[in-house]
Parts: sequence; structure tokens; C-alpha cells
Amino acid sequence: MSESTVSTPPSGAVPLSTPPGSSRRAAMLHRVTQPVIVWVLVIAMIPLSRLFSEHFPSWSLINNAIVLGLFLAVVAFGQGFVILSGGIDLSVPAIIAYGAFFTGALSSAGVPTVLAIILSVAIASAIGLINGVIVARSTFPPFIVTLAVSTVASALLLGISAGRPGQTAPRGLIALFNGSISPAGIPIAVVIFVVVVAVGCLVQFRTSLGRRTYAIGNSMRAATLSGLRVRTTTVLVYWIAAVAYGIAGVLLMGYGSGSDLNIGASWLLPSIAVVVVGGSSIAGGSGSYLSTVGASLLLTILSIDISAIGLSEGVKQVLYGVVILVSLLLSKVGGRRQ
Amino acid sequence: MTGRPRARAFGITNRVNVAIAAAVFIVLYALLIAVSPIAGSSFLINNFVVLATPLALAAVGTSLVLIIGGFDLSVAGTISLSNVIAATAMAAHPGAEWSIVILVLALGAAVGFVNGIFVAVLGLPSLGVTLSTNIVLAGFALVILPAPGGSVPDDFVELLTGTVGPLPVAGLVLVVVAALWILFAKTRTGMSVFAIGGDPSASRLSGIPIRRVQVVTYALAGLCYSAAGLYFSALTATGSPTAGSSFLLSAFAAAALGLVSFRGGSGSAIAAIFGAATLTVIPKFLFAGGLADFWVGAFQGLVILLALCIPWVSRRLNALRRSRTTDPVEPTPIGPTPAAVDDLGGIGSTPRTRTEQHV
Repeated sequence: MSESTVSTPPSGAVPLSTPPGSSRRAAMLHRVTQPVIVWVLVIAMIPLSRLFSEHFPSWSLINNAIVLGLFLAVVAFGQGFVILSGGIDLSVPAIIAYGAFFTGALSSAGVPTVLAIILSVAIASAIGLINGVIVARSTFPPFIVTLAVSTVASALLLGISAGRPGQTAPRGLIALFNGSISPAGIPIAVVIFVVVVAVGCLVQFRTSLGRRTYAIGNSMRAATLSGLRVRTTTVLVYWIAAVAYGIAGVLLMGYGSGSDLNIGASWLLPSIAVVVVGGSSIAGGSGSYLSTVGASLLLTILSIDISAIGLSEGVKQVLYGVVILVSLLLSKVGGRRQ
Repeated sequence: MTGRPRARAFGITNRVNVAIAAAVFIVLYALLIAVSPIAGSSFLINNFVVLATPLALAAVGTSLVLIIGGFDLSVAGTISLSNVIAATAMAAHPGAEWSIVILVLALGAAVGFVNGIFVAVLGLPSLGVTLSTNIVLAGFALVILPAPGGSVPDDFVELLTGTVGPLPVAGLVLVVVAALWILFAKTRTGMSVFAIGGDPSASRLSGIPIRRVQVVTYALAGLCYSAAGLYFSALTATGSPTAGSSFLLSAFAAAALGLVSFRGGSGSAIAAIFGAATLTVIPKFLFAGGLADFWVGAFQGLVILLALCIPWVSRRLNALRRSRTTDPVEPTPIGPTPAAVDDLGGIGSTPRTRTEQHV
């Protein structure tokens, strides 16, 4: 039953008289063209970065873009999944901080690295579970639920950590990013990137959960009426998103060889920006993780370029806001043409 | 045609909401006085009113947009930017503080106007639009003042935080805002705000100029935020680029404590003002109890979560009461109601319609 609801675009846009086949084809077409546009922009962006600095484009630019883009792609998978379901998740920074903090705390307490990572991702994802349950059970808007839950969570983390300044990452985790491991000459970060993209696409396009998420994002009522377990799906969506943020926290911990409680603060806005730039509807129900990944690379290259010409953090933030607004406008115009 | 009795019913619910929100606050403040009697002194009462005013003004703006059926996240950015501009411009141009006040208020209204244009004329979702304007405004605040600093002149601080006779100026400001709200709710535009929030497609069919009313509402909300930012500047006497960030959650929580509907169509800014006062009084208990700082933070978050549960609980209670008093075939929240059929067919799903759990 969910099969038929999955690939129809938002119900408001398509009158009932349209034969299901053609709307499905339009949706498929949209799902293919969107990533193509974004990836063409990514490839065009590499030579264009010459405009920002005479040292660009270079291999180190591409390498940095992939490493930094990896974190963004992981975070944006979670954010994109939540947005796809018709919500939005403002608890990103808190959950990243949990993932990073507990990895450091557990491994310095003598827990083996792998176990420490698994445990801290589990602890971090518990916050997502709380988000999901409240969003699914109550009727107040997700942005405020996630904001409130993350306020409580960060205050608790501050209490737990008792203001200890930072955590050092276990050695095995640092090795992921300092270039000491490179199977067959490929940096391990690139390998992780490919794995993340593959797993992300698999979850979004090939699992029943992914299809159900599209369905509830399109129309909650239609999904309910067609017998989907909307609440269970919602809880799972927020939980999986939190798993992604937790993993991002672990990875960021390895990249920075340590962490403080603000480690996640700078990832919330970019995570929303790349989802919207990737052409996903902010109201939910449409979007593709492939485009989101492209948009992650696009925005990462752009922000490296901006840093290269020495613009301040404030200007960067203004640009992020404008980029989101422009993509909202573009997707509106694009939607109308369809 | 049947607007009169319904409008009266609306008025009564809103008055009841104001009474409930006011009662909650008064009981809490009375308890505070019982715990630490010094809180009843006129000096501390004045202090309290001044402390609550920025949040109260922000909550008025937030409620306006909630009532018309939108979400305005630009509250944080507008407060930060107003605070930063006030603190830097007043420090740079002593003596010109009142023209700066007018400039900041105009800027707030302009921000709201832009939000309104994006939402009403271009038809974009309010959450996405105001999220991006919030980011842009916070970015501008960082550009103007990268680190906390700046100052506001003493006479500006004294005027806004002082007293007229026995009455705090901040209290008078809030009374004026409340009076303006009562007047506004009676104007054609004010009534349209409730109508649009309650049922956008019916409002369009009945000839309400939806776009104009939306733009006016967002502009008024922006005006409230910049007023809140100015008051916050007087309160802290300095500028910070992140001054507004804590207001994002608390402004919505204050609206929730004021029983403003998160689905549009009903609510009262006066109740939201009392909601803001309630949110301000709660930490005082914790400080009086001598709790460590971070636990206060955690507790505040919990209180906000509880406050957010209020609309949900009251809706449940209403549904329960209605199912007892009226016919048993009352549409249940989930099920094939006429509205659900509309949603499936796309007939009633305008961009502003909100379904359960959706933003």
C-alpha cells in the first residue's frame, strides 16, 4: 500500500484526476534531475574557486572539501531525513556534543575504542528517541520540541561534564584523519564518505522506513488513512537522525583530536542549508540524499573559498541565510513550472 | 453571517485564557513572596517587571504570527541586531539615542515586512523564510559587533528601567501594549488576523485581503521584537551579538503558557505577556533554593517542555468536553473527516494549511 503513496509528489500540487503513472514519472524525473544539477554545480565550483584564491583549485582543496564535506554529509543525512518527514531538527548541536563527549570520556576511562564509540552513539541517539516520541505523541511543532529537548540535554551535559574543559580523542580515531591509514592509496576519509553516501541512499530509497518517511512527509493524513504506522515511523526518523549526529560527533572528535561542549554549535545552520540547497522541500515529502551530498560539497567548497579571502564568520552566516532563502525561492519557482 | 456569536465565543475563550495565564503568574509570584518575603518589596517588583519586559514584548510578536497561522523564528536575530545597533550607535553618537530608538524600531518593522512579503506574496513557508532571515540578521549582528561590547547611555537605561511615582516604566509600557492589543483586535485588520489563522481558505473566499493582513502582521511582530531588543539593551546596558538567541525558545514558551494556539486562529497577546512573566518568575524559585547554574538551565528547559504541553492538554480537555456535551459524531483528531478528504484531493490544502505535527 505504501508503494503507491511513495512516489507521488505533495498531494496539494497534483489534482486527483492526474493518472498515477504520469505523476510518478514526473517525480522520478525530478529525483534524477535534481542531483544532476547539484553535482554539475559542484564540478563547476572547483575551477571557479580560482576566483577566490590563486592557490586554488588544488588537490588539497578537493581533499579538504571531502573531509569537511563528510561531516556535513553525515549531519545532513539526519537533518534531511527529519525534514523529509515534514519536521525540522534543531537539536543537532547537543547530540553531536553528546557523541563526542562520551567517546572521549569512555575511552579515557579505559573502555575499548570501538565499544566506546558504539556506546556513545547509543547515548546520543537516546536524545533523538525522546525528540521522536514527543513529536509523535503531541501535536506541537518539531522545531520547538527539538529546541526544548536540546536545551535540557545540553544543560545536563554541562552538569555531567562538570565544566571539564575538553576531552581527548582515542588514538585510533585520530588516525582516521591524520593520513596514517590509506588503503590502496585512497585516504580513509574518502572511503568513509563513499560508505556514508551508499548507506544514506540505501536507507532513504530502498528501505521501507525511507518510503514511509516520504509518505508521511507528503501528507500525514494520507499516510494515516492508508494504514501507515505514522507514530512509529516518526520516532524512528528522529532516532536515526540522532544516530547520524552522534556518528558525526565521533568523527569530529577524531578530526579535531578532542572536543569541547560547543563542538556541534557550528553544524546546525549548514545542515539545514544543504538540505534546502539540495532541492529538498522544507515542508517535507520530497528530496534526495544524493543532492544533499552534492550540496554538502558545494557549500563546503564555498565556505573554504570564503575563508580564503578572509571574510568574517558573520558574513559567512549572512551568506548561509541568503543561500537558504534563494534556494527556497528557486524550489518554489521550479515547483510551479512542474 | 454567523460571525457574531462565533466572534463572541472567541472573545470569551480568549478572556478565559488571559484570566488563567494571569492567575498562574499571580499564584507563582505570591508563592515566591511566601518563600522569600523580600520579593514583595517595591524595588524587587520593579526589577522583576523590567526583567520580564523584553521577553513579554517578544512574546507579543510571536503570538501575533502564531495567531495568523505562521511561525516566526526571526525573533532571535531581530533582538540581537537591535541590541547590537543600539549599543554601538548610542556609544558612537551620544545624545542621539531617541533617533536611534526610532531607527531600530523602523528596522524591526522592515524586517517583519520582508518576512511578510516572502510568506504572503511569494507563498513560501513561514518557518523556512523566518529561519533564513534569522540567520541573516544574526550574521549582520556578528558583523557589526563581533564580540560583546558597546554601551547605552545612562539616561536611556534610567528612563526605561526606572519608575514614574510608584509605578515601573516597564509596567506602563506593558499596559500600553496590552491596551493597543485590545484596540488592534477590534480593528478590521485585527479580526482578519484571527480569521486567517482559523481558516485561510474561508477567509480568502469571504474577501479578506489575506496578503496585506499577513504583511502587516509580520511587520508588527518585527516591531515588537525590535522593541524587545531595545528593552534588553536598557536592561543589560551593553551589546552582544548573541543577545537574542535565548529568546527563540522562551518567546514560544511564553506564548504557550499564554495558551496561544500553535495552529492559528486563537490567542491573546495579553495572556502571552503573563506567560512571559511566569517564565521569568520560575528561575527565581530555583535561585532561592540555591541550585547550581546548569540545573537551573535543565529545569528551565523542562518547564518549557511542560508549557508546550499546555495547548495539547487543553485541546484534549476541550475535545473531551465537547464529546460529552454535543453530538457523539464529533470529528475525532485522526480519521476520515471532511478535512482529510480535502487534504487528499488538494482542494483545501493551501500553502498555509497546517496538518497535525507539521510545521
